[in-house]
This record gives sequence, structure tokens and C-alpha cells, in this order.
Amino acid sequence: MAVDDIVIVGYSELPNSFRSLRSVYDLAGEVFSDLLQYTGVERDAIDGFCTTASLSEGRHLFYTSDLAEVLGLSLDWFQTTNIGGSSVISGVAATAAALRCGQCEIAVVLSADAPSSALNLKFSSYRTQFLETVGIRRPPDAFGLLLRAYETRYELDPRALGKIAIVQREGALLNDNALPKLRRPLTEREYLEGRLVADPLRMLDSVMFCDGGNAIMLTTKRRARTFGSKMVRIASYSERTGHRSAEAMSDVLDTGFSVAGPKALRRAGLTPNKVSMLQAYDDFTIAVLLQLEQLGFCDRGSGSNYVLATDFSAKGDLPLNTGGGQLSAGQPGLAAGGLILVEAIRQLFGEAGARQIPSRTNAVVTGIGAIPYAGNWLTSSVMVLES
Amino acid sequence: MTSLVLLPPDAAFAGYIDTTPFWSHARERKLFVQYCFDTDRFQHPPRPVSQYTGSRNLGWREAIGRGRVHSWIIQNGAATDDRVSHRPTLVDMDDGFRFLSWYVGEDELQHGMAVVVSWALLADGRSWPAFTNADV
Repeated sequence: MAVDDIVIVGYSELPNSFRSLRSVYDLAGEVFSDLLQYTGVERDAIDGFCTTASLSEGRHLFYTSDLAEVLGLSLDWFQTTNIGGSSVISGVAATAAALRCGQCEIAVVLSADAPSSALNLKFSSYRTQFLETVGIRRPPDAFGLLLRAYETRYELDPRALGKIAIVQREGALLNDNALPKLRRPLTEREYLEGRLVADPLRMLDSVMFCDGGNAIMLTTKRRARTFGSKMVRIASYSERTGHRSAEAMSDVLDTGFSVAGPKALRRAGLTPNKVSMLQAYDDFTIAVLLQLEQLGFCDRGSGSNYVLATDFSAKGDLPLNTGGGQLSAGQPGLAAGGLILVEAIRQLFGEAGARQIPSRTNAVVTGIGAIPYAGNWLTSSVMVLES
Repeated sequence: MTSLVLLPPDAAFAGYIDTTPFWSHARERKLFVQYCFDTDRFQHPPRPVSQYTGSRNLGWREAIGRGRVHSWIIQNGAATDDRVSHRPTLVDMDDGFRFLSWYVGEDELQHGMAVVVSWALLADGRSWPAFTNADV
């Protein structure tokens, strides 16, 4: 799907906070209001709205309908996405498609969540019997199994995963929206000596829940010209869900990015060496390493050496999660996919301040959604943006 | 084959498919796993359709209960359940499916290490297939 006539014209983001004790509606209202102020677009001009499910409102089926209502929106197109960390960019792709076929003209993609204040989850399916009984309850357990599978097959220097955590922390130090408790320098020694929560996975390989929200505005290029605003073009989007799910003994390290990554780059006319920045979904450091390999930045199994040899800073070879990513800015639940998306837009608009990357023609933004039984992740999604 | 014993309604069983054969045979220390008759293959976890074809030509069969360690973690944290080990382990079963359980024993685990089912008792009285070293 080429969506080259659809552009992003504005963004807003709340500073991440820990146990804000604020509701998702309150957070969403603030970030929505901020977006109106940023764009100068009147509320009543918005006729399309896409939002994500929320961990805080996980058991409230009509959360997103209530949200659209309390924001006072009158809509011709309304959608909810709920595929974990892929929710936000898959929502952007759906919204671009709706704009393109004329379902709406000015759309907002908004996500807010507050899992550090309220977590209302309930699992069923096979999970209660066959995962919870085993003590595989939290994402670090599943990613620890992946990390072990990787290190038993390939060379993995723990300093490589540490480098991902440390370089992102440097971005968070320059990001006023990063979670305050994470805005202090991280050393390699601190990383290596950190607690092993799901050995071999360290606490510092993992994200911390927080409360937050973000929103962007999309419209057609023709309409955007009348705003006179900055624009970021959606160059491509590819998604792969249930990669190899019909195989009982598939390679646990083979992710959907091996399909969606090259496809998204090809559709955008890009090769990995032409990528200006990577805003990679980073719930765990090993997820970033696997994406670097399967998006094509290096060969499979060579991620450790590649990471140690590459400068990922804002001024480096491949700027990576320049605002700290979720690892160092915090993971605002199901709004986390928007945290890295907004950072990509901010960089492409040239509004990233002290962490602004010098060469900004494009950005690759990814999403990871949900953890299946004995596998890696259910959904892999890749979006390419161009300035 | 022993006759099936129907278990009482339990919150853990609600909202999915009938997995009674797994639990009732576990009482007899037999590992029963869902089976696809179209492809003559086991599948786990149980599903409403065949993982291989999408059909519902499914049943349950006894599996050998042997396999090799694929991956494992060591959980460092307070025990909040009735597991006898905090080493969740992913096993490639000889019968061609993957099974997540935990490892019983003090051995250092290794990828490819041969393991066999060792039945554990959950606090509510149900039997559960854990794994232990097959060479001991």
C-alpha cells in the first residue's frame, strides 16, 4: 500500500510520569488539547479519529467510544487498534488508508495509557492454564527465553545489549518528556552488574511502566498545503502477524521483521544504508538487536559485533531511539508505540533541540505486538516516514 | 486407557476450549496432547482448530513425554505460586511440539539436553508435567 499523498502535520506528547494517579481520559484530554494548540486546527474540523486500547482500561470494552465522546468529537471515521506495541503505527496506516479513500479529511491518531497508576488486565485463552501455571506471566520471562535462545546459538557479548541501553539513556538525558527517574547517566558497569530478573535478562534490558500519552494529526497533502504547516510523508508501512504460526517447531529467533522490514524499505525505495534514523520498538534490548539483524542493517547472528562497531548517537552512523526510547523514557503502556513515532516526527520537523540529528531525510519506526506461546512476538510492523 | 474424570467447573477452565483430556490424564501421570488427525501431528497449546490446516478434525493422544531443552530462564524473585522450581524451560518434544514447563533438579541446563516429564502436584491437587534430566 503506497500512501504517499497522506502527511503528518503535527504532534503532541505528554511528559511521562510515574504513578500520576491520573485517568487515561484526563491524559488523553490534555494531549488532545496540546495537539489542537500545536496545529492551530479547530476541534470541529477533525472528522477522523483513531485510538488504541489501554492497559488501564483493559476491562472496559467501551473505553475508546467513551473517549471519543468526552473529547466532543463528531466523526465520519472512527477506529480502535489493539495489537500491543504495533497499535499506534498500525492505526496510522489505517488512518492514512481512510484519508486516502475519502472517509475523512483531517484525522487524529491519539493514544494514552496509565499502567503505573492502574493496570486492569485479564487473560484467558490458553494462557491461564498453560502459561500462568508455568510462571510465564510477564514479558521479561518470554524475552528472557528469547535471549537465552539467541546466546546459545550465536556470539553475544553482554556489552552489546548494554550499549543499546546506554546510548538510549544518553538520548533520555536530553529529552524533557522522559521519565524523571530515568534521567541520569547509565554506565556499562551499572548495566553489567544490574539485577538479573529473568536470567539471562537483566533489569536494565527491560522497560519500566509509566503514564503518558501522545497524538498526531494527519491529512491529505493537498489539504495540508492550506495549513502552511510542516509535513512528514508516510512513505510505506508493512506488517506481519503470526509469522510461521502454522509451524509447531519454527525458529524462535525468526521474527516477522524478516518479512515486513525489507518490504517496507523496498516500498519506500530505501536500503538500510540510506536510513537516517531508526526509532525501533524497544521493550527489551534483545528485541532491538533482532530488529537490527532482520531489518537488514547486519547479518543474522552478527548483531553483537555490529552494535559494538556502530555509533547510534544522534550524530552517529545510525541514530537509534534518539529520545531514549521506551527503555530510557519509560513505557506508557499501549501508548508506547507512539512515543517512538512522535520522536521520529519531531526529528523530521527539526524540532528535537539538543538531540537533533543533522541529516534528516527519513525515519524507520517499528512496532512489536503481543507475545505468543513459545515464540517471539505476534506482530512486527514497520513504517517509513520521509520529510 | 483409564476412564475420563470430569473436573469441576473452575475459573481457570472457563472461556476457552475443552482441555479436560489433558488434566484428567495428568492425574494418571500421562501426558495427553491435542492431536490433528488431518496431518497426524501433535499441537500445543490446545486450539479450537488445527494449527496446521484450520480444520476441527482434532482429538487427544498420549505423547512420549521426552524432549530436549530449547531455552530456559532463572527467575530471581519471591515465589508466589506452587511451582517447585523457578527455572521455566522451553522443551522441544520428541513428538514434534514445544512445551513450556519448569525444570526439576539442580543440574546446570544446556541447550539440547535430554529431559523427561516428571509429574508435579499443584496446590489445588492437579498434576502437572514438569521436566527433569533424562539421563539420571
